[in-house]
Amino acid sequence: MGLYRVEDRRLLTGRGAFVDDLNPVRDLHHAAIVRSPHPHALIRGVDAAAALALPGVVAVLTGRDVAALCRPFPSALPRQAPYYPCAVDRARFVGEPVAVVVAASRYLAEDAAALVQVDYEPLPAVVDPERAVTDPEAPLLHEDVGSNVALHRLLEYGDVDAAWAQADVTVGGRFVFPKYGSQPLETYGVVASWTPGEDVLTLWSNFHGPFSMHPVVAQALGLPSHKLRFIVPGDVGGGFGIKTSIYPYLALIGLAARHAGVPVKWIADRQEDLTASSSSTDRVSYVEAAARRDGTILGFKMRIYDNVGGYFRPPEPGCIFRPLGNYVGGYRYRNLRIDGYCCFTNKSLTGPNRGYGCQELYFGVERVVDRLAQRLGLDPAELRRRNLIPKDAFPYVTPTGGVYDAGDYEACLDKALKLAGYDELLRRRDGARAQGRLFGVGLACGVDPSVSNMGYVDIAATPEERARRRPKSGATQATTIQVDDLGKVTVELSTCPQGQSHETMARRFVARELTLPEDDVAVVSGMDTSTRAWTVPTGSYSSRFASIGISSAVVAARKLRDKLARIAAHQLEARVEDLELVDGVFRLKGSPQRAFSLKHAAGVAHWDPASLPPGMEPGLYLTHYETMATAKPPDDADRVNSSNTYGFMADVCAVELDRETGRIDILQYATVHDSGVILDPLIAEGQVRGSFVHGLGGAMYEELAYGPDGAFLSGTFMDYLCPTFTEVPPLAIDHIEVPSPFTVLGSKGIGESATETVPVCIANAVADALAPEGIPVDELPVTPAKVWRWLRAAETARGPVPQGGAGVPTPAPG
Amino acid sequence: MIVEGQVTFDAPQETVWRVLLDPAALKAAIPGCESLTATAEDEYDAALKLGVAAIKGNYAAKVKVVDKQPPESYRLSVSGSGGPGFVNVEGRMKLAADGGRTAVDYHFDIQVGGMVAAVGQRMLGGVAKMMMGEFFKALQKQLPAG
Repeated sequence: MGLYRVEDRRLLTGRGAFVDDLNPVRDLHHAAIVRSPHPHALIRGVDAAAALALPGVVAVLTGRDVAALCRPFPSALPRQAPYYPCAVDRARFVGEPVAVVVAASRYLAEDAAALVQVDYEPLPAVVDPERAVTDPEAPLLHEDVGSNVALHRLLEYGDVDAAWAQADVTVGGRFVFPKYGSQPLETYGVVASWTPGEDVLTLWSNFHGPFSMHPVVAQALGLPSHKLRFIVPGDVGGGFGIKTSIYPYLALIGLAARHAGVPVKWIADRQEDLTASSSSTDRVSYVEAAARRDGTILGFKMRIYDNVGGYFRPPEPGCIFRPLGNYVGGYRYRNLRIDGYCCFTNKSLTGPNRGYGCQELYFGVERVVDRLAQRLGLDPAELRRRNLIPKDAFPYVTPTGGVYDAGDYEACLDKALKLAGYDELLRRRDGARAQGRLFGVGLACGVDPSVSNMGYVDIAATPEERARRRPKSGATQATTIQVDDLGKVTVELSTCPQGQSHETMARRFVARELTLPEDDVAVVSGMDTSTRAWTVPTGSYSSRFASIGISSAVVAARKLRDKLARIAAHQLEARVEDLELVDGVFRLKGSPQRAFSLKHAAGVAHWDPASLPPGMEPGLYLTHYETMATAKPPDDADRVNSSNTYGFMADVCAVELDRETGRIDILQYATVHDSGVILDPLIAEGQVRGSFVHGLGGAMYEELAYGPDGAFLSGTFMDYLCPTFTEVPPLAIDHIEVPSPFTVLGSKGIGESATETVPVCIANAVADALAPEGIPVDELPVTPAKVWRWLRAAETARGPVPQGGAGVPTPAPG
Repeated sequence: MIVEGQVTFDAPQETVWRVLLDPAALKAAIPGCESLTATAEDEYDAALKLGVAAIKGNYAAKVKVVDKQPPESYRLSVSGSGGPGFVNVEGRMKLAADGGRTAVDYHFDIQVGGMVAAVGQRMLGGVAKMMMGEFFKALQKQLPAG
């Protein structure tokens, strides 16, 4: 009995090969990183003498050394707010690298790191993004910028003022979304080796793309790009986006190896990953909607303060702009104003994290949609239904330039309501409420973007700035396939999987195209930029595999199949269009006895090229680069199709809160997705469950918390709570399948999906439960402690709940 | 983090004042204090060995006493740093006679950073209160038997 996935046996028997398992060069040394304990401080000096005196210590690289050896990473503000992989003269967040020690073992390196004396002069810190840019007293992080605004863009689509003039009602609020990350089982890890003479820097790591970070690192290191080699092992122990942002450590450990003259390995410990890997942004947003009395939404205004931490690094400002094409979510309103600020504060740095920008966006939007329903006295499901983009409108171009490929949003919502038993939940709620219990039902809808278009990054620049340089666009993914002389197939992926079953899926669909048994197909994952096919968007992020990743594999297989068919046709003296491929054999349609196997066709190419069709190259090794016609640069009106396929999800959640303890029980959660054609039900379910749990973390548990003084407060798993099996409530999952016309198999990404809607769906349910108390839920995570405080404050304001609690009027917050 | 409270010593105000500012008495009373050396008038260098949860380590601290209003009040500031992080304390002590006894009002604003904050913040409040209790208890022992 085989395991379900081709990856499982090696992973489950400890035979995976992860970056820490690699010892690719001899004389490997180890690095430990000295990090700032201060959120904000001048570095007056670094004394490494005691560390260097320790036997076994080879080198200590300080911020000054780093500044002398490399350039700031390219960004929108490379000169005014230079970002180096190590603090130079000033530390701007707790955990920022200050020095790197290279020694014969990790133990020695850690001991020596403790001996490095850093003379700090602490400076005042700021952690709140809104305060950082609106309070003139807030400490400045980068004097040359002149403020803590890393980036500001005011974008307007449609006619927002006209929408407000026509509106019967406007509702809004201020929303606070927390900073959280991913915490994959495998932490960041890098092995660096500098080859003198060739002057090539080879970096093994668990980086998972996009490989646009390759030129970013090459430019920072001042290396010709062909002298910088990224190698990624076939096994990466989870990433969820945050390993995109390992690149500063690639540069840092690379510099350390070059400086020390020995190859260096660095594997982050858990505290380092919590303190200074990468996370999504925390956000303060003001979100307001205008609507007609019948519930028709006319427009939205959003003022966004996104916290990028101490430095602004690529691919930020993706936090604001990655979802640009789907800012309207599933709704058909056309007027939108986005006043977006990326703010410097003394927090750790940010980047892609499962859902990248969407959970922050939908938190404000879907809370406001609920308030609108409350204001208008409409059922929240009915209000949403009235505003959803109708199914005959696809492909649908959003006001911000998104091209929604396909969908039936109303069917998806209806299925979710049915799956959850929405009407029954409302009856239960009303019954519980009559008894004074705190029972709530919440909804959320969202559009799930996948296969991001590199062009979105350019929204950071104004149209005038963009006009002066070459445009960016694209979403390319490559797959290479070879057939050997005995007809066996090897597929080289460029997707850098982190556990999402790419090998299983590529094997299955390539075998299907070639009509071969799956055992005849082997899949190689991982990456080597010096020997494998790649380009800047390559990698595993933005839920790319189920759409463009598998598309590239299937088309590569078809190209190879077509070449083999031409060889077979030549052998059979038939026209290629008269052949069919059945069970690995090309045969003449109508006369199946005239046949030539795929294996023999491959043999001809390898052993007897003289018998190939005239002019045909003998190779059976080809690469297909799949891209998306819809991935275009932003236009002059700042519209961009920021992703290339768009799924949809509708979630329903029921909660009950304990009035005495604040405990939040999720009684039920239902999520229905339209991710196009489902390629594999079990793997899809795994992705949805994972994305649900990640969203649950953001809603109720996970927070990279900081004190108001900038101290980092969540350096262990006792403080940074990751939901575990016991926290996961009953989860009902279903799908509808509206095929995408833009992908080869009609499939779309699914791995981020519920992460984007779960936080706000739970918030909406908790808010519904607390509505009789007049408590708005405008911040996450919602924790028992917070609910308890809100309830006590409400009691104090109103006096204690009467016995039984019945008859308390329902005020309308917001 | 603010730690404040009141403690009553069984000794006259002048005596308590003297002991509170006596380096030898302080060295004996401050938990984990390994040395306390005067560097100038009302300024000291201290070596402390402290632990919060699993995060134990050595700290080098500078202690400064200012705004002395004998025998009523003074302020003190402590800034220490070490392997596990740093700690800054701004404190205020107020003494008041209470019959033959002395009531001391203390108010400390404590800022902790680095690894101690990242892994130990859940315990910090409790640890600070416990250390304060140990300190005053040990100080009481330094007072002449009343």
